Amino acid sequence: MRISIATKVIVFTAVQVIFFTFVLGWYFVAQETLEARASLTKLGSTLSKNLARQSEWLIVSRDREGLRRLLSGVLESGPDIVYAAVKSRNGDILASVGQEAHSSDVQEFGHVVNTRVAQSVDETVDMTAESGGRQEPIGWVSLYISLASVKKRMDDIKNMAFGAVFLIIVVAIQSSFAFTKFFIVMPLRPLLKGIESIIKGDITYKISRPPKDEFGDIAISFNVMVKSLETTYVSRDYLGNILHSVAGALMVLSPEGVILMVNRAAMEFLGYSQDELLGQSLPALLAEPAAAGDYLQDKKNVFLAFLTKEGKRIGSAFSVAAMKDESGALTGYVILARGALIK
Amino acid sequence: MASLSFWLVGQSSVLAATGLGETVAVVKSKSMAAADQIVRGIRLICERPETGVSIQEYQAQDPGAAATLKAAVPALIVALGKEAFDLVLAQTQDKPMVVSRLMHPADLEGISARVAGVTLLVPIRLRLECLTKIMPGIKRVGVIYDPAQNQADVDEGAKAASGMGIELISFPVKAVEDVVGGLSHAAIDVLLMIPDTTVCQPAAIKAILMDMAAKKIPVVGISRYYAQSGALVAIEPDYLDHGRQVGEAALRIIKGEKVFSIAFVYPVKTAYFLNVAIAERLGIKINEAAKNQATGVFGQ
Repeated sequence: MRISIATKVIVFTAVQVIFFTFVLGWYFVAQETLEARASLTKLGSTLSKNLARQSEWLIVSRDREGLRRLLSGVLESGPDIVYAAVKSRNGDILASVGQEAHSSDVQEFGHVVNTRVAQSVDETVDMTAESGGRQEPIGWVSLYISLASVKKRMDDIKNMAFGAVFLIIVVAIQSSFAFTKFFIVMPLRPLLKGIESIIKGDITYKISRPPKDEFGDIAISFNVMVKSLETTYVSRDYLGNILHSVAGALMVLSPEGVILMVNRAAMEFLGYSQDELLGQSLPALLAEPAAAGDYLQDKKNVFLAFLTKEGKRIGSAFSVAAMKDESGALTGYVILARGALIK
Repeated sequence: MASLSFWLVGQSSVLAATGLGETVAVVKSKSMAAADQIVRGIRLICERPETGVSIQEYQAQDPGAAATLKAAVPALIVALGKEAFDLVLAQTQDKPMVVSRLMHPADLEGISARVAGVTLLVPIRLRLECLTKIMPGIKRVGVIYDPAQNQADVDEGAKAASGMGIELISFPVKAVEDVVGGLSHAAIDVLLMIPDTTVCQPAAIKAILMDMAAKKIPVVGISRYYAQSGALVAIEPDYLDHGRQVGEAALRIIKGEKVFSIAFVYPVKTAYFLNVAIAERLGIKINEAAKNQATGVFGQ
């Protein structure tokens, strides 16, 4: 299955973005949850602490009406406070407002009500001053705070986080798609077009205005390669022209006797076209195939009899030259007709 | 030679009898605001030229106070306030001591052979005498207290009040929360407060002052701080005179009197503070003489 680079980049980016945005989203929601809970705890603690402080002398004076007014004020201070009560040291409710409810939607906050008590009669002299004595509990305040608004806030945060994650994923996929198209696919197109042109034999194709990046380096290398190919092709044509201008039949064989190159005279001599001859085995063209091995020696003169395409027997004196590389290894043979054709 | 020896022995007897050259250590409690005034009174008595006594002052809260006190080897120690009393009692085993604090004679049970007491507790009788100078026409005086602490004083005060043509109406309470409730039906001309750890608590004092203000009943507090906080009058001991009482007790011990022979001393002079703003709010007219004799006037 062929998977394009663009698809791979998009999938890779999408997976990464989805993973990280979900992790970040989860972290954000978790942090907000912690913060909301801490904020609620702080609010509840502060309110109950203040209420305890303000209740002190009202408890001491058993001013139930004063306590009720105080609690009403607390209840009105925030819509989330659903119940408030002040209890005596023995647990008797001195005053309460709102509806007492025990459920997971309500959180209770409490604070002990202390009063400063002189430890000795000596301390009673200046107990009006804010010092001396020790704190003794005389009551308890309770506050019930509804969690409804906190939960709604958390739901809003979750929805917002989910929306943000979804948006980020969409934007990231679109961005990666555009990035792939503009920075990978589009720079590759002239390169592919050039390769196709070379395959078709057009070695003059050049990539104009290569980008200034790695693809640009490839394009420059491609242009250099094309120029080199052009030079090679010119040399090959030049050699071909030389071969074709030789009057006698000429063939270049591989060490195994397969025809690699023929000239025009050879084609006329045997009656085959170039395509028909290239790749053919020399023995298949000889009138006496079994003797082919004997002929393929480095000999100045040898007589070879061929069968033409028309099936006529034709022969001539040939010069066989073995080709060797620098190490002396055989790389092929060159066969050149030296005399007139004998039919 | 024999006459010289006799003279020297005679002189040392005289020195011992007058206490010449002796040192009295006065240990003060940080929480006792009037300590300096008391010390001034002590000095007035003890540091007269003929006594030859010198006073060394110490702070009970100082970290090295106990060690310094032991090293000083005074002839007598005077403890002013509870912290000083506790420190001296714990750190010195055999030194004679005079203590000045808010206390009853019962507080010295078991240690009276070593400790002479000069209390800061102004008797109800003295409070009423002072009060009648400021508010001459009062007839019904309420007193709020914890019976466990002050029943004997109130009983004694009731007798004294009766002799002065005043009815002392008692409001006994057992817990700080009962204080205001205990005064709910008070039909009195004035509420007298006495040192009491159940009643004299910050929240209770505030509650009493507000409740009494609402009922237009003046409150008599136990120190200047009460007058500053909203009591009409505050009666406290005359601390300078109290210092003299302490000094006299100390001098008697230095001169050779046994500690247990010195009777428990109560204040004989009082000082009072007025809050004229409260008087105005309550519609009470304080005469100019009372204002002039007040140690302090607040709310002017």
